[in-house]
Amino acid sequence: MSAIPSPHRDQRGQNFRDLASAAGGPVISIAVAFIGLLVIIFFMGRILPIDPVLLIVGDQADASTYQQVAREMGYDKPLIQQFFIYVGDALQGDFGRARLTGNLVWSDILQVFPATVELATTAIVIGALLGIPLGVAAAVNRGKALDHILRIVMLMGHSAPIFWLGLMGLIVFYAALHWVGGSGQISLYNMDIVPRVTGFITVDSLLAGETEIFWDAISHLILPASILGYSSTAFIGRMTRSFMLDQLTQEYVTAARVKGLSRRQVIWNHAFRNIRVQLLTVLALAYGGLLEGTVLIESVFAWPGLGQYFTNALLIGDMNAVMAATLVIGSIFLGLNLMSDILYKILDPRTR
Amino acid sequence: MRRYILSSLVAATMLATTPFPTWAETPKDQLVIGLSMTNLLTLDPAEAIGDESFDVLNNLYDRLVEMDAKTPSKIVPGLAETWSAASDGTLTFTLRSDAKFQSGNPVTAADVVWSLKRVMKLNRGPASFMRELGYSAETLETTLSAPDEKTVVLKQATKINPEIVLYTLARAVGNIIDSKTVIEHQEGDDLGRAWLTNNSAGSGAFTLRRWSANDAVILDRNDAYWRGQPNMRRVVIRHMPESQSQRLQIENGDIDVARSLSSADLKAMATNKEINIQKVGSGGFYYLAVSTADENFAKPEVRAILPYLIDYDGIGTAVIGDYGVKRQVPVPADYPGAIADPGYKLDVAKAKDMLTKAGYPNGFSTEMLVLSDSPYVDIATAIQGSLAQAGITVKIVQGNGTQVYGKMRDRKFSMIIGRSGGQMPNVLGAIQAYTSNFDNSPTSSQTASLAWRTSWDIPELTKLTSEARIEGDETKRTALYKQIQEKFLSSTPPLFAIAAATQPSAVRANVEALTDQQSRSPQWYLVSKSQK
Repeated sequence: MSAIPSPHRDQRGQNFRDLASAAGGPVISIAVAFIGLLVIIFFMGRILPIDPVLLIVGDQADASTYQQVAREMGYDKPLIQQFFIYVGDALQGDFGRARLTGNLVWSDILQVFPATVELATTAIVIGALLGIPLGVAAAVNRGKALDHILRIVMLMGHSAPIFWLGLMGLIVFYAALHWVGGSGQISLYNMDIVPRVTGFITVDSLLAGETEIFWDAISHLILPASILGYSSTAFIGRMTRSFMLDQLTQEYVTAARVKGLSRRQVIWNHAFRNIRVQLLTVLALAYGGLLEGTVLIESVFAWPGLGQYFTNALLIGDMNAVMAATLVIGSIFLGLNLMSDILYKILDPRTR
Repeated sequence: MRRYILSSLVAATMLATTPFPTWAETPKDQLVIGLSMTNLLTLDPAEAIGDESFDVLNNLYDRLVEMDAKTPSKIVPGLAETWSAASDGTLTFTLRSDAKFQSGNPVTAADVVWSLKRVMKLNRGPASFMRELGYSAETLETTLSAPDEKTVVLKQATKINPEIVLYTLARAVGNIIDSKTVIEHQEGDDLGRAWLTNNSAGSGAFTLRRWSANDAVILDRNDAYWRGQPNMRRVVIRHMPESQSQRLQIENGDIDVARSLSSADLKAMATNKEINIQKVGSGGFYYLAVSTADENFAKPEVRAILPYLIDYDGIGTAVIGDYGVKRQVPVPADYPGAIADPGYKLDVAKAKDMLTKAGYPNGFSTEMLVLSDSPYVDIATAIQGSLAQAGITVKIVQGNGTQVYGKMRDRKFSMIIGRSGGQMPNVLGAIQAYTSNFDNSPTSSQTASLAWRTSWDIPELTKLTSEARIEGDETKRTALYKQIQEKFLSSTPPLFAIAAATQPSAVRANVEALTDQQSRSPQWYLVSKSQK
């Protein structure tokens, strides 16, 4: 064994260091952003004209009950002291109990988050599978009828209110045609039959060997996921189109054609290859947007996910739950950004 | 290329249109209910305050005495087979011998004493109802006892008509808990609060299988229920915040009962033969309240104008719909002892004239707080319109319950559209929040009183209300009820009843023994489904 590291090994070490430094910067910025989030969320919670004590004791409570609960919740202490208690608890991972459920906030979030991930992941798969080819097709046929049609379809997906699309989808595909299940993750009579393993109802039902429940879950998932997927198809498609248009006007594309490569090879092996990195950011952003943007569709479809948890917490002023959910959503965005930064550096040597 | 595009479009269309198995019609032995669960925050009887919680608790637990499902003003036996009131108002309850908790433990007098004391020790929302009867954690130590396993004795803390005590015990605050089971799950000195939030320990017709907030509550039948086995094997309640989603599901037969529908959706289903609309009187009222601490509304002459600027007919028919019944006295018209409406009508000319005489020829500007829900906002908008005709400019400020009622409790408001909750199905239960204010100072403990919140100092009305609470003789009490209502109307109150609030539900026609129930919380053990 040589004492001198081989050039190959040295190169690997360099790559690792590159990656570490690529990740290091974002990790620090994430830590700063995280602390910033804590401060903003805490003080927003206190500025909002919502009385958390009244939420617990109700409008009919008398002064004795009200004062006792306010004391128990620490609202009699000075604001700055409340803040340090909150930050201290949060740094230890303790966000308190949700008023909404009486459970620890984290256990609630673990309970509801898989439902949102299941919905958003199905939607992003639909969005990417449709959006990328449609975007490429529109770019390749720029100015032709197909381009115009696809642009209109994508524009509609981007501009139609998702809430309205959800209701219309329910009326047509559930109420009139009976093709899909109604609201909720599964039919009510199928609830609580499959043991919870992963929290993803489609996976859990297959693990339990309950194919009927699996198809029931799919029939409930397909409509909200398609509607969400449609809106992200629009976003992904429009971005793909504009990235491709950029590439197709480059000289290397003409050169490749002159070299005698087929149109398909030029589009997919050359032009498309060069937009992969940009597309990755678009997909990460779209996925992040789906994870936090399912609020309305979750309300329409009574989908028991993070979006609905967050909305209800906000409506009743359950600040413990709001704070934790905001942190989760903020962390998802920061995490996805970090991930796409790292992938950027792997896929595109110029950015190293 | 075109080939690829075409094939992907075809695949996408097929994916979107593949018919997946769907099943309409709920199973015959399951009752499936859709409602907005936003206010369902706990299932601990000593802490729950919302109607949604009460619905569930009513079926998980039993009380010593209960309100009859069809005639709620009638007190019927629950866990107490019999009871008697002594001349000093002391109530003695004899428990039935066959009642068992879902754990198998027998229901004993010790459980009753423990449950009621627990309410006062925890001192959450429901404790206020017991405190209104004069009880506290301390006084219960000497007034509540269990001389033997099946006897419970409750002495009075302050002189009060025993009927009021019975009505209070028949509410959720009087739910009897299996003390042995809960003590096993106690954490520190929380008296089982953390555990009972998500679990049940009652003797009711159903047991709690699962509650996940904003998703579903699932109840399983209690096969050993002392009133007999319920017809429904399961009751499934799903969170459906959207009225239109609820409507689609009930029309499709995927749910049996829809509990939080908008007026428009209820109206749209009125002619559907497969669906019945059930309306349950709550004893509560939609009201307009003005603060007498406000410089304009401090003047009785200004308050006297307001009944002529409320379009009772228009609001009753077009705005409130199935959510209420037009009424100008804060007592439901069908309660024994309720007086007739004074017959106010929208009369802008008269109001303008009165306003000029009150010293406001050019009107004035003010602010109205309102809950951002239907029908509150619609009522506020209607009143804003008619007040504008007389020259009173109103700015509407919307908020959620804690925001609006929070300001009302701080007595920092000018006008509010709100809703009172009837505490008992009788005149007193409906009106006492409007007519009782013992201490008009900011430090009063009677913060639930609407009269206190509007800073309305009314020693005479308060005295009359207190007399009615004590009066045991029915004829004398009815005379007092009449006097209170008349005195209230003639005192230029800052509180204006607009409509008696009702809770409408849509129920599938094959669901039996539910639509005829009139108590605020349904009893699901009575429900069955016909084989249509």
